[in-house]
Amino acid sequence: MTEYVIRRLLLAIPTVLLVMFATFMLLRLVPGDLVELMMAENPYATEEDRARIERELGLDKPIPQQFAVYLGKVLRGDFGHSPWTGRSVASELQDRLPVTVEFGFMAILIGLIIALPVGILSAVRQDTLADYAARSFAILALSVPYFFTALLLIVFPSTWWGWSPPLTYKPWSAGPIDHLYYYFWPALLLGVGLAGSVMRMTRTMMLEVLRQDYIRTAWAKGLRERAIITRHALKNALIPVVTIVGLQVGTALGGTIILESIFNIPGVGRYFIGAIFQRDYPSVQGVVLVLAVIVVLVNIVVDLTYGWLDPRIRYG
Amino acid sequence: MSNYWERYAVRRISRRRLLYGSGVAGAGLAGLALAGCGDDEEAPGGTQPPAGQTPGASPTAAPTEQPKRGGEVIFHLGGSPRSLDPHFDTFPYNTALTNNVYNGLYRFTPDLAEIVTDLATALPENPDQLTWVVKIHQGVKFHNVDPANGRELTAEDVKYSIERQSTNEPGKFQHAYFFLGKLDGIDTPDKYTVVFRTKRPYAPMMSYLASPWTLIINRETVEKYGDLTQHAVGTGPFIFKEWQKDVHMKAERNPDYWKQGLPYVDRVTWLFATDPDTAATMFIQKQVHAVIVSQPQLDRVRSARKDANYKAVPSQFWRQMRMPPTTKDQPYQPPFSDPRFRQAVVQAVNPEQVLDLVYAGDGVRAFGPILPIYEYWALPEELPEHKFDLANAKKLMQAAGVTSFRGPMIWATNPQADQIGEILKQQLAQIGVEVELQPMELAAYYNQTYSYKYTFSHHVPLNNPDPDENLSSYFGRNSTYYKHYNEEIFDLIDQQSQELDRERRRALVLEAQRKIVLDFPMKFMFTTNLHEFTDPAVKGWFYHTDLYDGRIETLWLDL
Amino acid sequence: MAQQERATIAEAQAPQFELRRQLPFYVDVLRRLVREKPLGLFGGALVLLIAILAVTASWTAPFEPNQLGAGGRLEAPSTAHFFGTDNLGRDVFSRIVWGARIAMFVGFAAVVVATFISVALGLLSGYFGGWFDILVQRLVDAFIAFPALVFLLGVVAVFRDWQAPFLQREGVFSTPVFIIIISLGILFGVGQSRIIRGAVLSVSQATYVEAARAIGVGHTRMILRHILPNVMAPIITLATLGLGNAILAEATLSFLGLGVPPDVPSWGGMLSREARIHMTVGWWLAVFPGVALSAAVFGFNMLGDALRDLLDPRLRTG
Repeated sequence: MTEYVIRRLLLAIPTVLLVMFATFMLLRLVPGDLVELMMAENPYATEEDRARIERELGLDKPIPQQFAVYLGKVLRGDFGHSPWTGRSVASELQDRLPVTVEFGFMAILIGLIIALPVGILSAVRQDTLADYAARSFAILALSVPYFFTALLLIVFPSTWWGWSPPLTYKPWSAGPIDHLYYYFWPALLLGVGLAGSVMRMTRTMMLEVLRQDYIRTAWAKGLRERAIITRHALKNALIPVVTIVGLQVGTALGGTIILESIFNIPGVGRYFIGAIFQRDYPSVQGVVLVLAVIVVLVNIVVDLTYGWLDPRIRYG
Repeated sequence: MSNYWERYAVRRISRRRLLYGSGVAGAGLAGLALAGCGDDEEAPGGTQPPAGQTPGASPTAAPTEQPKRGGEVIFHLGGSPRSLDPHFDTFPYNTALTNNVYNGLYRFTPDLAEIVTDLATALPENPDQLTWVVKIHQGVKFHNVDPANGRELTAEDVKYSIERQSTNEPGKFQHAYFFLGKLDGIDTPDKYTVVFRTKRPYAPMMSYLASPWTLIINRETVEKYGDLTQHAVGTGPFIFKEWQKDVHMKAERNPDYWKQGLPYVDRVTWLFATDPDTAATMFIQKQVHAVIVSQPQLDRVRSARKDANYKAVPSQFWRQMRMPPTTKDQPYQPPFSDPRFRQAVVQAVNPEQVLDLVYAGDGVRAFGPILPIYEYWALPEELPEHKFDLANAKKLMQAAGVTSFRGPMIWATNPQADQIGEILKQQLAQIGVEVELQPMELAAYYNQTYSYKYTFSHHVPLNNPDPDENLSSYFGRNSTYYKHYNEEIFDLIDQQSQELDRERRRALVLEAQRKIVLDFPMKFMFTTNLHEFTDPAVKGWFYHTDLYDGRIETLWLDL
Repeated sequence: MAQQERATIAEAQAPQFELRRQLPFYVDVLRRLVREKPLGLFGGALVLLIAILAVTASWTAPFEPNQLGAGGRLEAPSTAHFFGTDNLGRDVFSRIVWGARIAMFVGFAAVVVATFISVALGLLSGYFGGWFDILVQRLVDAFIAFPALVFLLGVVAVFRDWQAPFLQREGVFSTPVFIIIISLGILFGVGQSRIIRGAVLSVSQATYVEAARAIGVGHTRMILRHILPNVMAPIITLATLGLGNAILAEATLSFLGLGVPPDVPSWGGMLSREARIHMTVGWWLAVFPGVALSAAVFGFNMLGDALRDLLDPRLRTG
């Protein structure tokens, strides 16, 4: 098993490197934007200023060379500094990552809380009204854009009823309930969107499992429905569900981008979007690197869990 | 000459750019909700006005009310500052804090009618056209915080600060143009006197000295931390306490503030919220004491908070439609080379219609490079050749012999700008000019703009209190924001920047504007209104007309 | 000679046999859709409605979508303007109808690109296998796992303002639209290649394929004649689902200011522009595009689900 983990980790390295290089290239393929943005702040900046800025920021060197320099720094733990604020990217990430991770985690959790029971119900009562209702709900959840509902939530209740979801960040020190409630509404919106695909997957897998012979045996033995579902069907059905949840980490992280701006959450998503529009290269690269690593690690964990859930799968 | 600057109607704003090109932050007014600034420093029952100071107006303090002490005032800001360094930033989110942590030599009154003293004891003396002598107060102490530890501020600090601001370093030269290359030197003959020597007569001197960005900082703090991005130690009414990125900033009352009796409140907090609807909701829910919103949120806030103080103020950001930039080596190409064509384009555009459709008419027309809100410097009315006149435009097209033309129009995308582009397209279609719409993301737009190679664009420039900046950075000899080659105009602009006599300068400024307008490089369109609200408990202060002036030292809470 | 003839005859018969099987097969699917899958049928009806609107936009829409002042400013829905007007006086109903056309166009084009990529990747990877397969699969893994929005943001933000020489400067055939289509196509295509690969693998192991190979059928023919037709099922399902996702993705990009240019009426654009700013004074600005968007995505997803159930019950990953 350890061998498997090590092999996966080693394979992950070129993947992450590739992602980093791709980001690096993409950002610089439109040359001079960061410089132009800087120059736009000074009404009298000249061409010499532009050349000087490029030189000082190291942007005049060929891209592969810039990448090598960047890589060297990263390996030493230096993620660079924002050319705008001078703050180190690493410290920004340190502050923001836990916030986004917590947000994403809550969203996925809420998604599961909604999706699993609904999916199971849908499978067990296949082709009944409950099934149709559940599936419609699941797909509706996928279809309605969460930024749309977020906007509705922010605007209309305050006008009609004088209520709005919490809009100021509450750290743990402000009390766990306030802290969690602060994440609740955006996590709910995101979670509902995520729930859709988990629900469908759960349903499909339950359906397949329920047709298996060993389930029929259980029926024949006279086991009650609930026992059959929980003891025999669920564990096997959960395998691909675990995979999907693993994939959702990526979707969840992406979903945080818009919601963080609307709900005033000081996380990585917002930081990332701002950095892209300001061509803050080190920040964008830092975020992409961290996200890539997270996603790769989550994948490995998911695969291992896979193995744990299904004793037939062994990694050697 | 020394009293020349007493009645100075000017609005100074520093360079900044529109960050919010994306739909995420929404409203086209670049999310400019921010904390406003203070009245002049005279507070009822408080300070000894330094000699020679002209009393300014206190628009909101009722003369009979006694200010109460204590409390925490909470402001909304439309975004987090990029850094806390007053010299190297350009966002009002920065000055919201720095204007209360530091002092400057001079400042503008909230209505921009005059320049009054801050650290200086009086308006400067001009022994000759090239020399400015400023005397500063004695006994001004830095905050009793490491590393300044309450030491006294002297003329050396002033010299140090201004020299630091005038730097050529990349990413740090946002306000260097105030004095860099214009000053021959700064002398400090004694502890409380500063002498500025300029290379040539420099008319914009006072507005730059009174700028919210020209603040006197603490040398030890710079030496200790290398920069001021996260530290702020000054002489101002509030002491910086904490800054949590994207969440809030906090400051506390300075008990040793050199202006006796000020400030009144104990604590200040600034909450960040980029989304304008979120900001409006926060004010409605009484989570903040003050907010600035734009037209879409106006009705909602007004009806929900009928108790709030409200004012509509034209923004300093305005809209212009541009035609190709020209330099000596890159003159107008046909059909732009024919001024009749350019005039036709200008006269085919109807800014009122744009304002009505996109902003429900909530704004004010612009007639030239300087907005009518600077009454003293702006063109008093629209020149007839610039006015919307479709019939004449068609005639001009005929006279120029142009039946049709096709060209791209670029701009930085955001919801309102996109709508403006569509309207302009339809308006210009009426004279046979087909515009291809090309909204771009902000960074890409700047890329294109700085190449000085485009056909049409529409842009949101910032207007400044000093006419020089508005003119020279767009139409001057060394302009960078735009280029328009016209030696006569270059000369006029150079002249006005050296004319210290106000009346004469005004004549030059007006003439320069007339010449610019009649050269038809652009259509000058309009500015929109910002809607400013404060909680009825907030007294002694209202938003400064200059959004970048964040001083609140006279504010008190009627708890 | 005789042997060759026999080989060709055998081969000639095989595809004919498949061909005869295919037509009634799909009709059969349709019949089962109507009979057994009411939800899928409903989804299909929605999709059909949107497709009809898209195709007949120029006749169905009472006004030009960009016509300023077709009605008063911010008028509520009425008989003259079924869905009201926006702040520029444009008729919202017409814009919704034309928006259907753009949605279908972008969605369809993105799906074509995605299908091409997923089939290419899945086929090559699944059929040829070996180290190529391993390498590609690892890359695909990484790509799937990476946050989609981050990828889209990056690519679109950076490339959308590049001037492609073969494209127009504005409108539907402009660079931003092209970039969106390509990046959505890549995004979906790579993810879907996994499923195609799975299907290719299972088909490659079927007996008749082995038999064909024993006869000496070349790779190209093998792929085109034997593998591909049996992979059609997942392709169709994925295409249907992909259309829904593409429409949603474009709306999300629009919301961030990276969607189709403003002179192209799109539901996402309507939400991010007019609705975003004026919805407190005009609920119709937000509701109708939001509903249209949701309905389209809902319809495609429902239909796709049903098709998946009907075409290949072994299809799992969603």
